[in-house]
Amino acid sequence: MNENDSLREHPVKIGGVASAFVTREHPSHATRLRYRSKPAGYTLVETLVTLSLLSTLAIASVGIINSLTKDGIDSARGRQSRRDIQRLASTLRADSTRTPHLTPGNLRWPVTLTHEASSTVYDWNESEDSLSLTEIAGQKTVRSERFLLPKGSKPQMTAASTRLTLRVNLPSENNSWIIEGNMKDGDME
Amino acid sequence: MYPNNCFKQRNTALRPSVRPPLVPAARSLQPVTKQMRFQRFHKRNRTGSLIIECVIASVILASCSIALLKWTHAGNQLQRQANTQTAAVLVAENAADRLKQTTIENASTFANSVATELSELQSLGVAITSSEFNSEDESGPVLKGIHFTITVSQGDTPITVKHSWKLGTSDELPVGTETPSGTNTPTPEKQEGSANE
Repeated sequence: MNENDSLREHPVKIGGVASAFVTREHPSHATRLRYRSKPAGYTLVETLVTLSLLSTLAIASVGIINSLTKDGIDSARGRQSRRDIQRLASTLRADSTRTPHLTPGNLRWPVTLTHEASSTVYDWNESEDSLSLTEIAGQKTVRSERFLLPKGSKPQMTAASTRLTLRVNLPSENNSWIIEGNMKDGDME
Repeated sequence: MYPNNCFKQRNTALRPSVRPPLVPAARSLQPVTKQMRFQRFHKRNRTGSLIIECVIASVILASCSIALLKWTHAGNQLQRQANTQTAAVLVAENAADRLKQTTIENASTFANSVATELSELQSLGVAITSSEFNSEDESGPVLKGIHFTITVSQGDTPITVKHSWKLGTSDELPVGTETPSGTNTPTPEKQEGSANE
């Protein structure tokens, strides 16, 4: 057995030899540094950075998803209202040609167009942004329709001596949809 | 070296907790400095990776945001375009509806006034051209009338074109004349038609 082996077996101070060796019971600063080399887990800074990154991504994702959903809903509503305004145009034109006379000026909702054997009531529902139509003959409802219009559009119906006009404002644009229909008396001019 | 010691050495190699604790101080300093240098390098390396991670995450987030913004912008523009198209179609239909009230004699003047009025109502330009219409179908009665072309445009770009006809009486056949077969010819007066382009 050489000297080193005996020291390994007895890792204690052995006289003057202790000054030349570093023991495990009394490790020096250098040895402590050596044994502290491997970190056991994540540091606080790493954890905080990761958490902040994750939260930023999560908030951004929620915002993006919300925006996409809103866009999808708006787009679907826009499509529906464009379809409905075309339907409303043909209906209103047909109804106005059956209406002999209306008091000229701005008409208040509900607007009633009186025909020979029936009457059609147009009413604006502001909470749903929809225009409803009900045709009544005698006491019976013979036709009922609903037209979805763009959000915030406040349709206005105006009667002139020969013409009925419905104006639908497009709130986000500098534009409006206008439907005109000739009335029965005006048609013969 | 004894076999016993060999065993012990192997044993210590397997278990880091019982590594030879005694090292000469002079010799132990060298690995420690190496270790410190390695630690510093490792630390620098890890900081670099963290920055790279942050940069990559930010780039991904920014790309997604830009793509979404572009998409939203394009969607809004398309919707606005579709709304303008709808408005133009409605204006053209209104013009055709108004032109029903005209007579063949003053068709041109009336068309001009209708175009001016409708242009003032909206930001869309309305142009109505009228031309004389003559049916060249020899089998039926000769029809005469006016052919209107309604063009709705935004700026210089035409959005929609609609055609409308106002048919009058034919020169050859008086209105409601009895034909040799005894059937009444349909009155061509007040006939209208329209077609969208």
